[in-house]
Amino acid sequence: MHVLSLLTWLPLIGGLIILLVPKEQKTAVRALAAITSGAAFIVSIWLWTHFAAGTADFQFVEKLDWIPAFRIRYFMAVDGLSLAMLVLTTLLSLLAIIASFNIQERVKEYFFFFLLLETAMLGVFVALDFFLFYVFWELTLVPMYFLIGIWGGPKKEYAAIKFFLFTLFGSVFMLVSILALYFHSSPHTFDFTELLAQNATFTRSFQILAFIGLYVGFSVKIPAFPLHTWLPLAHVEAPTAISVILAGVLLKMGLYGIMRFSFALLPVATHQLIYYVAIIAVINVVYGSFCAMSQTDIKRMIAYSSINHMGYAMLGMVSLSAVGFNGAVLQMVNHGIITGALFLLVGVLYDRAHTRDINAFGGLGAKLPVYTGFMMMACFASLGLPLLAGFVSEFLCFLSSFQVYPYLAVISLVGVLITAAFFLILIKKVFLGPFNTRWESLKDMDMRELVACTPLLILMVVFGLFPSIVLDPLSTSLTHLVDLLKLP
Amino acid sequence: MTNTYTLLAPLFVLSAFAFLLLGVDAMVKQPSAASRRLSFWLTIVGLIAAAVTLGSPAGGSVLFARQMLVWDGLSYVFSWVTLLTVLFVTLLSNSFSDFDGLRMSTYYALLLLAAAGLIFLVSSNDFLMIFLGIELFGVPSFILAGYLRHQERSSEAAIKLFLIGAFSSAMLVYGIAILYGVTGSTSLSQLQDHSASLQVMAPLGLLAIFFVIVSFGFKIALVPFHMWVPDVFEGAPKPVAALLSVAPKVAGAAIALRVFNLILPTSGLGFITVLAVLAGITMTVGNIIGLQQTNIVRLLAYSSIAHMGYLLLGLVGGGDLGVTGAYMYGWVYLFMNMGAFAVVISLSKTLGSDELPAYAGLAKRSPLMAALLTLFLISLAGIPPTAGFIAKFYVFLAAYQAGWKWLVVLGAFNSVISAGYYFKIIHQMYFRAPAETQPLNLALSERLTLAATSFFTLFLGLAPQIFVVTAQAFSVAPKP
Repeated sequence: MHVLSLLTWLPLIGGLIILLVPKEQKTAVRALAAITSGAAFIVSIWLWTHFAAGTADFQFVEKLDWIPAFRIRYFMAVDGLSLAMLVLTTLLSLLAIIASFNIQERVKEYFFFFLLLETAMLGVFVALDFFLFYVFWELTLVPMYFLIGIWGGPKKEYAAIKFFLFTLFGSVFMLVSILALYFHSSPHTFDFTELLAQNATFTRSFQILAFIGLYVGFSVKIPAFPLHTWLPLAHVEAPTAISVILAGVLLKMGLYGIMRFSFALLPVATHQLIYYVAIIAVINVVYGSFCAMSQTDIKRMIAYSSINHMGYAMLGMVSLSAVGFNGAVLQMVNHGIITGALFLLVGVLYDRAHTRDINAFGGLGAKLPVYTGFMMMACFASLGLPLLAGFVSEFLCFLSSFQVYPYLAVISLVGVLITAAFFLILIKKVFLGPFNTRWESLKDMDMRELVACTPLLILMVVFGLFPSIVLDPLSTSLTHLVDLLKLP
Repeated sequence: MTNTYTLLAPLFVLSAFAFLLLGVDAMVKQPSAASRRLSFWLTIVGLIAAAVTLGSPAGGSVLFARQMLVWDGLSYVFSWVTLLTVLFVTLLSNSFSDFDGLRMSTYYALLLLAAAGLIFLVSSNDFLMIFLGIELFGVPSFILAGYLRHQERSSEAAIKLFLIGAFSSAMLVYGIAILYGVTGSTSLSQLQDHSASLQVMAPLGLLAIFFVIVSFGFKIALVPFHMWVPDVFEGAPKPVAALLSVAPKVAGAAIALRVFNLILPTSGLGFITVLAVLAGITMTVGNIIGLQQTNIVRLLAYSSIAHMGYLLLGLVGGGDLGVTGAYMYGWVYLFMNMGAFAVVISLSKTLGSDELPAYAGLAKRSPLMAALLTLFLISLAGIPPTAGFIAKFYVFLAAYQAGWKWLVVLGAFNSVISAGYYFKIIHQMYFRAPAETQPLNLALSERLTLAATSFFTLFLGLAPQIFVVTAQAFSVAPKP
């Protein structure tokens, strides 16, 4: 049963089939892309339902020799952490593909690159051999480069190469750390489970260096201060659906990597350095929110709010407790859903008005009731209104970090206030107040947009009321990850 | 004695076909399409015949021709690299339009002689043979570089190559003379036995090694001996530039591998540090200057300089991993660099310019060519899942294992810099609108080259196991 391989490669197979379709057949290409990503989503749901929640062991294991000369294996498996990310990835990919049906230029290439990207992202979350992981990690770069650079906004070309070089810069440091881990294990291996079994033999100084290397690689993707500067540009310039994927999935790869690899493999270094990571998390929260507040471009504002929200997730993570890990993963999932929805909704407005200037609008609430309702709900979820998804995860993150670093947690509460402030300003300026007659001819959301956004809004309510839907299958695995961090 | 002749057979075959081609040239009064086709096919047959006679050393090592030559895994692997390079160059020359109206028999004859020279070089077991091999390659190569004799730039390239070649040969002769003075022999085997005496006579021994490193440095085009590369590449006919970008550099690295890693590793002279520093400078300088280039041939020239820096990591690393890493890098570099040149050569006629803006919108004009060039460039940048990543990974492993961690970090960082300029080309091809829409057409021989190089560039990245095992089987590293 190679269900993980099926899940991972399914999108790429669909993408290759798309390449064979004549380029005039735009509808066929779109349908194929939607069917492929839909199938991947169904497979991931199947995984979710067949996943045994009571155990922390890796499940659906696939292990084949790939390059035996270096003991490199094609090793895939999932635990709760990867499972959550897989379902998030396939869901957001499907919705983003539906949202990209309005792409008119170079349709074939667009969906090919998109599906290649989906394969790479899924691969990152299932690979447990470091070499394989690195291959998938790098594989996300190339399609993303093209997706931003060809279909993006005015400064797309610069945004694309900046994104590419920043991430590549991070990942080469990761590569050096991976090599170091390989040579410090005996017999030499890239296998995560084998490395884990012998991490007690790693010396403290080695662990610290390896941790820093991995951290540089992962933190570019989170993105953590000070390597975050690619994000606002890439998010703003990328086409709507790609911003969704960037914020919804790619940012999660960084935290996933830290929780899965850095923490588990290098516990001594983790305890040594976690305080610095906590400080960076606080900077992300506070600095991100202030940056967001000063923006007049709505998309840019949401991009900076991503930095801020990933800061919350980091805060939960640095507490190194089960509650914190649960909060962090829940925050990753919720941020994917909420920010995904926000980017889709900003795209809806931009497609009609061709501007995202926050001051250009006003009083849209009366003109576009459905859109206003959607947008307000997503904003409220993002600022952490109780009963919506964001609240639970942010609460868990703060709760856990307060126990460990009370001062840092208090400082980062400033960020929460500012977040609430800028979202309320956004709502006020765009939807309330006197109606700007320039927008007399705006139409409300059409069917494609409703189909893409509604599932996310439903999930915001559902996860807000019943976070256990997400957390129950994960908590055993996450508790296990926390246990791995206990020093003897 | 029959053994000697069997082992020399590829060299005989290549030389015989070269002279046959010169004979053909004498018979042809006016260059015509028919004579060009005939010489092309004769060259192909000659190369295939040489490849057939190339006997596998099967892990052993045979000294032959009065112990002047050696046939082992190293000679075998790099003889193949040479033959394949020349084969691809022949294929690319066949339809290269700048050659229209020239007498091509001589050109092909010189190609074959150059191949023979490189095979000589990689199987030398004596400094005199090294010198002969370098000259046997060098003389044809500067004639080849100046083959478009009505173009000033081509002649300039030839002169530069000639002067640099003469200078580096002189350096080598100095080195050989001093080594002979110290050890009483030019044989590499003797040198190995007397490597202790090099240390005893330290200043002199070091001077000798210094000269040898400098002269090899010119061949491999290590920084600071790289100045000739961009001008020569730009001026020479492009197929010759493709030849120069792969064959002499990789063969030079091979003979450096033989001298420094097999013969002298325990001499205690500390030249590995020198090689490490050269490797670091070479890739950094090559990549940083590469960032400034706007001409694709010059860009590839600087990229080829940087790549030799990476290859040198294998030599610096040493041991089994280092030797097989250098093999692997040579192979992979052959395919990806030759592939990139093949695209540039096949496009040069239609585009009419090598400047980057000429590549604007290539993805619209010819999606396949754009995709292929992207594949080669991604591979050159060392991004998975291409062969370039595996090769880089391999030499990084070797250098890391030998404790050269700063060099690995520098190498990894250099990959990022190099991505900066490789992606400038991809940028033009995909993000810009084409200025013209004239369709591109490819000759069959170009298609063949592209098919082969792209296949291996991808295949070696996805399933490297077969090649890794092969490389290990032919490893010549001293067994611990």
